[in-house]
Amino acid sequence: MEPQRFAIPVQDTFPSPQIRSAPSRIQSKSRMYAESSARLQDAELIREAQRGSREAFDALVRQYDQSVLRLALHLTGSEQDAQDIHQEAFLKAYRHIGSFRFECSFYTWIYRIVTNLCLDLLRRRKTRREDPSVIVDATGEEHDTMINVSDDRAMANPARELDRKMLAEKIQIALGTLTPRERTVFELKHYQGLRLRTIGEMLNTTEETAKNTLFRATRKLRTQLSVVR
Amino acid sequence: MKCDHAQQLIVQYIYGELSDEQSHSLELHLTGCEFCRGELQAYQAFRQTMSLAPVEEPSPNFLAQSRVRLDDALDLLPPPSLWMRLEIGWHGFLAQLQAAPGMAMAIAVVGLGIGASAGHYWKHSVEHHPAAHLASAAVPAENTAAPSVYNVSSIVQHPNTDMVEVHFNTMVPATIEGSIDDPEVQKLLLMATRNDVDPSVQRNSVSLLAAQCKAGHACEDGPVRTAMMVALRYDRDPGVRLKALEGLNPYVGQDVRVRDAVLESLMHDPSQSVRSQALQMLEPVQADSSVRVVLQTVSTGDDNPAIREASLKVLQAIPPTE
Repeated sequence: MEPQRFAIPVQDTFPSPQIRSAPSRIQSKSRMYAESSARLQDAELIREAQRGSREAFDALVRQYDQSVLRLALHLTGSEQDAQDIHQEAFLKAYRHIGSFRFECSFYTWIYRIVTNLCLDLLRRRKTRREDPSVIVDATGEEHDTMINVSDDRAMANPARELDRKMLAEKIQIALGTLTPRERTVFELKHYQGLRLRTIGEMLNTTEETAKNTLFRATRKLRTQLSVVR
Repeated sequence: MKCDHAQQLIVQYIYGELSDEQSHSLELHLTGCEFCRGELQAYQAFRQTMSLAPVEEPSPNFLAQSRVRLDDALDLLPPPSLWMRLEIGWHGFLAQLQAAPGMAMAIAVVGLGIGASAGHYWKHSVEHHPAAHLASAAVPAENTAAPSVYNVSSIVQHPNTDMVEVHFNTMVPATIEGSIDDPEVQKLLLMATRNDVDPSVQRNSVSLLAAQCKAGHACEDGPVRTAMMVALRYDRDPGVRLKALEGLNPYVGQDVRVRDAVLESLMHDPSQSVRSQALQMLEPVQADSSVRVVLQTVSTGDDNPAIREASLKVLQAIPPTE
């Protein structure tokens, strides 16, 4: 007979934020303290930048530009485009810092600008490209790779390292098959770890829509990468 | 709970987005549904698969290069204090208006009155200044290129005429329309050559001014010619540098500064077409000693064989002097 009750393996590989042990609660307290002091520091810099201090704005740039560049580089896959977006985003922020009303963190604000610039770029690219959804299927090799991955979870596959690089390429191709919006939501959730509510705000949509988009994106990727039972 | 809904929750679960209550409902469903248990495992395997392609940090060099580029672009923006303060002031003012609808109404009435009289004055002004007029701002042409202009956002040339439409930003976007020879239009075009944010604006303005220089119109005085030399030396787009060269062509013979700029581009420009064009332009002044020195340097030591050969040809064609 099947087991009576199925327990979700929450602490297995992906710890859930809802269930925390005592040490992690202490860690989270100190992290909260660090976050709030960073926010205060940011607020001071923003006020100075609003009063016209270029040095203060430069300090804000130095704090966030690496994350901005990383996000743009990973989303666009092109150094040139990432650099253009990095520049455009901060120029935009500089021009409009006067209208920053402290309703969200500077981090959320600049990420909102960057993701929207990336989204525009991905949309422009998508309209220039023809149906990319067949790329992965054409090779016919995904099944083998993913079987290896499944086996690896069970600690039974010795060929894991050999497939790593090839798999990384397949993942990139699979990511390329998502729509610009799906790609952006997936990037912000999976790689940047943002909350879906924040993602919704950044993309001027609801948390519910962001949830649905994330669901579509993961389902597509799973199919592309043949992660099926 | 239906399996469709459970699958949505599974995705949110693996990304830590479920509330305790939702987790509990999902747990209950999974207890009795083998299919969804398999789905959960598949999504967990998917997450682990995705972790095999992590996000890479940008290299330190790339980061440094991007920072320098951003710094340069920020340097080109006007000092923020004035317009930022005005913007902050404007937002504060709007907030106050939201809090005081009566005052907003009074301002709207006064604004209507001002608009009506400005419209009357505007009509009068355009009749007396047909050469250049503002398309969207209700102020006379004399005030259009006032110091409050902080950048030019786009330029549209009317086909087969010398008329252009220049869109620029003061506190609000505005547009001026007029002949390229009009001093106000020219002032804005000159400003547009320094726009490092939108390359198309820079390209348009340099090419329009260069065409005027070529036709012998606008380049007689300093600023336009200087702008062409600046574009030739510093613009990143080789197409723009070529246009600047064309504009400077009539002055290679008479203006030593122009000749130096062209010589510099022959020596150092990264684009071969720009260098070839510079070489051709120097032919009429090849007897000049500085030109000859540069030609000798380039013809013997340049990395590019085509440029070496072309310079040598020009050198050989020079009749011996003294």
